[in-house]
Amino acid sequence: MSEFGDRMRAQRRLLRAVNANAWQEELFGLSSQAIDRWADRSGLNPESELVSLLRAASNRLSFLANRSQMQITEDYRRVSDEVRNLTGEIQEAMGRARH
Amino acid sequence: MHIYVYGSVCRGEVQPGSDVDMLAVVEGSDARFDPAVFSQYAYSQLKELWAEGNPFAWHLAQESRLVFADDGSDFVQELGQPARYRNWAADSKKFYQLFLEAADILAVRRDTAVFELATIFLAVRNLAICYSLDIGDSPVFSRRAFEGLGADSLCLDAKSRRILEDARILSTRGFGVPPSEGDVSAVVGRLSDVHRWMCALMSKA
Repeated sequence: MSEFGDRMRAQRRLLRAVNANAWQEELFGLSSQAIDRWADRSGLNPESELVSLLRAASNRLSFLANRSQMQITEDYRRVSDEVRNLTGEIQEAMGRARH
Repeated sequence: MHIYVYGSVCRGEVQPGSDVDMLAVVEGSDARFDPAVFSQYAYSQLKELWAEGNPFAWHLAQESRLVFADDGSDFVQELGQPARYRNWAADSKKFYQLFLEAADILAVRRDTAVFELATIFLAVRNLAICYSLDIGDSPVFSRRAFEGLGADSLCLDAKSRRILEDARILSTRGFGVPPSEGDVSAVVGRLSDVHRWMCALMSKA
């Protein structure tokens, strides 16, 4: 599928990983405002590891969004890999945040 | 450096939770612009979008307003009208696929329900925008572009439309009240109508 579709799927994977835990409210998206709301409702420190990782993933997806009109490049592949790795780190951080 | 405002605020479509879309056009890149606030494009990128008749170029040509220019010029206005839009086949397939994926997920699970509803809204709106560009009369960029296609408009009940719009604002702006399980089910029950509408547009254009 398209880079656009890839980006949406990456976002969905991240949301699914986060929402696998029973938070006060699900994470609705990876925009900065959606993360702010979720962190607040979940009682998480905005500077915590988990929230910081989500912000990093959000920033990397924004990087891809700003290049959605461009051809696939090495940059794009590198950032896609970074987002995939961040998903794993977020899953690990969630385990720590719940303990 | 040129700074523009574009999108809903230029159409007067203001509602609680709506944001102001800002565009920065720069040489190369400029780290001063927060990506959470600004869409940043290089001058060369914007010229490419104009040359390919990209929907975003048409959107800016029709609905952007200059806020600041360090050289006193209006770069977007000077670019003139973008090339004819000719990517309908690929774009329609992309948004149709996006819709199908979200609809399929909502049929079996709800752990990303708001995101899926927001994705469906995005797919429906963007398909309508691209269709209006493809048929060429007068492009429609409004939030409810799917209702601005005359006889080809999507007839969606007010409740489903509100739930989809609200999900989009929740997902992108983090603002609003989440839909109830009943709300999600109500929209899911209307997705076959949306599917038929998408297929009809794709067969016409």
